This record gives sequence, C-alpha cells and structure tokens, in this order.
Amino acid sequence: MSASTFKLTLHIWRQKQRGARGEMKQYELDGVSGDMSFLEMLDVLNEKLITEKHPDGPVAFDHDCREGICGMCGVVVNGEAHGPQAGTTCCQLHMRTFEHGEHELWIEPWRADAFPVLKDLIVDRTAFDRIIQAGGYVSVHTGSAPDGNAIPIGKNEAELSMDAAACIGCGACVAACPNASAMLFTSAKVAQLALLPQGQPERFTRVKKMVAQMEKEGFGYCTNHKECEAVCPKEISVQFITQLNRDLLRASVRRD
Amino acid sequence: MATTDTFRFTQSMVGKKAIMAVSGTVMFGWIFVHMIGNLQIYAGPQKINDYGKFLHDTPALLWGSRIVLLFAVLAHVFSALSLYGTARSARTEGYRKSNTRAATVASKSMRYGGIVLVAFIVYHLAQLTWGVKATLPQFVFGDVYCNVVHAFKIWWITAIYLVAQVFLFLHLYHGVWSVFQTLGVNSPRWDERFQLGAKGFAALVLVGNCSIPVAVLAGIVPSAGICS
Repeated sequence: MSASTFKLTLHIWRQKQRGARGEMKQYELDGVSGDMSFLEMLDVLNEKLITEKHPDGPVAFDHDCREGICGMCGVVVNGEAHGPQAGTTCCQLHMRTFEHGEHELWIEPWRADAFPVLKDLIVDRTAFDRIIQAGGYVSVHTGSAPDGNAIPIGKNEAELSMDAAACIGCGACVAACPNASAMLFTSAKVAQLALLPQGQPERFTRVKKMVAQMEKEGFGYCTNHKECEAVCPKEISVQFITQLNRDLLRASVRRD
Repeated sequence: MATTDTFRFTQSMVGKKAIMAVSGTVMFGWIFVHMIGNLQIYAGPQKINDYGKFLHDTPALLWGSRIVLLFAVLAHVFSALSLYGTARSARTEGYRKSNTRAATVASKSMRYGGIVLVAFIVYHLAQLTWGVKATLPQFVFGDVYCNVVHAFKIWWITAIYLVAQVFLFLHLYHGVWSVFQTLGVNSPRWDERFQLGAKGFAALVLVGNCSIPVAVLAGIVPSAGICS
C-alpha cells in the first residue's frame, strides 16, 4: 500500500451530447492514491465535481465489470488507448503508473467518425455490433447436445481461435489506428470462426459481409502500423488481419 | 444476401490495398533492375552507353516495361489517393494529444514520402530521360555516361538524389513487408524473415543507388578526357 497520495492536473474532453461542440477542460485533483484504478480516480473526481456543485457536472464515462473483460471502458490517456500500460484495459490500470513522472493527464474519448461521442468520454460503438450481425449465422446441428469431442480440432487451431476470440470489442484498435481502421476487431471476429471446423460452411460469405459492413460504417483502412496490436488489452495479433486479407482474396476469386 | 452479391473486391479498402501491393511489387522489381542497369556505370562509358543503346534498339522491351510501369504507378497513386480520402473521413476530429507505440518513421512517411517520390521521379525523368535543358544543360541524347557525370558533378543535384533515395528507402522498408501482410501471405512463422528481407532489399537499393552520385562527386567515376 502506498501511503502517500499525489496531485493530478486533468484535461478532460467535455461534450454535452452527440453532435455538440466539445472542448478540453482542466481539473485539479488532489489525494490520488497509487492503489486506485484509473476509473476509481475518475469516480473521485466526479464525487468532487458533484459535491462542489461544479457547473460542468460529473464526467460521463463508460464502465461495467471493472475487471478487464467486458470491453465497456476505454479512454485515450495522453494519446494512448487504455493508457500507457500494455495489455491492460483502463479499469485495470492503476494510478501508481502515473505516480512518478508527468502529473498532467490528457483524457479523450475514442476518436472515429464511426464511433460518435455521445457524452464526454462515452462513444457509441454499435458499429461493432452491426459488423458482428453482418457475419450472419453459423450452421450447427440442433437437437440433442453434441458429443464433447465429436469434432476433432487441432490444439494449435483451437488455441489460435481462442486468441482471436479473446477480443472484448472495446474499440481501442480503432482509437489507436492512425486511419481509424477496424481491421483488428473485424479480423479477430472473422478469424475466430474461420479457424474452426464449425466456421467453415459460411467462411467465405461471412468475411465478405463483415468487411462490407465495416466499410459501410465508415472505418478507415489498414496501413500496417501495428498500433492496434500495441494497444489491444487482449494483445490480439495483426496476424488475424493477414488472415482476413487472405480469406477475402480467396472469397473474391471463388464462386459462391 | 445483397452484400455478398454486390461485394466488389477492387472497390473495397482491402482490395485497393491489394492493388497497391501488386503495383508496388511491380515498381519495386523495376527499381531493382534499374539499379542493376545503372551500376554498369562502374564498367566505363562504353558498357553503359551500349546498354542504353540496347534498350532503345529493343522497343518492345523498352516500351513494354514503360507501359507496365506507367500502369503500376497510376494504379498505386490512385488507390493511395482514394484510400487516403477514406482514412481522412474516418476521423474528422483528431486527438488533442497523440502518441504512437508501434508505428515507425518509415510507416509514418508512406504518404508524404510517396509525394516526394513522385516529384523526384518527374525531376529525374526530365533530367536524364527527356533531357530538359533547364535541368541539365549539357544533356546529350544517348551519352548516358556523361549525362550522369555532368549531373552529379553538381553537389546540389547529388544532394537531391540522396535525399530522394532516403525516402525511397523508407518507402520500401515499410512497403515491401506490407505486401506480404496485405496479400495475406504473411504468418507469424515468416514475419521476421519477411521483415528482414524487406529491410535488406531496401538497404541494398539505398546503397546501390546512392553509390553512383557519390562516386561521381568523389571522382571515382572518371570523367577527365571522356566528358567535355
């Protein structure tokens, strides 16, 4: 337990509603403990803003599980999605990360036109849901539960598919991408099924539908900076983007 | 599903990137052959001027490659412009504070570096192919050796070429590896080898191409008694 607390200067994006003009506002926050999570620090700030009857009101931010698995939270801290710690959502980021060094933080929402800001740090990520929906169904037998090991799957394929399936859909890949591309997200969702036998029947139609929806949502394209992989809290690899490219190429030359 | 039926690969961002990868590969291949051809300057005026004459005496080869190259350049540039527009509209409100973790100088230079390269190519063609007098007063058609020597004896022309080669190096450094990624042939097993190969080829082109103006300026390529 770090006994001492420290003071922070926060610059936070404040925006009343969707489409409204926003701006960065400065707040001073004392008594920040290194043991607080980043979101707890925002809770403390909000408590202060509420009790002081600050005209700006509390800062709106998304959060749910606060244990790094739901994908709800996510803000850009000093230009880095989910803050400076690799493989970590900002709810799992502790303030001790900022204890030594710069005590000035710039907190902004994900910036992408496909993710419009709803209020302050909250963005609308339903574009991701629509990409998933565009993928459509997966053919499975209905009726009685199948045998556990009825379909043999290689260990490597199973693990790789699970690596892709680790995506929590937080949107950090889009936020970090210089082109606001959703290729890492889409490719992870395409790959998790494309790697398994159960995903084969619709494999090539699925990739086309999901890419078409991704483009319709207004996301950018991939220029292989690998920024997405570097900020992904689940450390999803750009190798899935390669796989998406390969599958889309194959899908385009084969007959449906 | 309508989306499946109307999906046009070349209209998609992934497809346009594939066009960039294929056209980029064509240009890279040509750049490499161009460099090998140019390195013949070290074998003396006879050799390189004969090479130039051979190309002009074989119009099928010369014009064939020029047409393929022109198509590659146009496909590359138009895809890039179209994609750049998409990226611009994907984030109209930027970050007040931005930072990068994985992007390199090379990956960030692709767009403005590409513009620099187009400008350089026009200058280079005007000077040593079309023989525009304003760019090289001593230009004599067919005398490849002396044209090159006259140009690179001027230090600032050499400087322009060296700077352009640094941009070409950066473009190839990121671009050649990106080809494997974009066309979906990369894999974790091969990634490191592809990256190393891309960097190696980019460095080879940098050294090979830069050696010529530097050698002329340093007097290693003889000019006394050959070029007036």
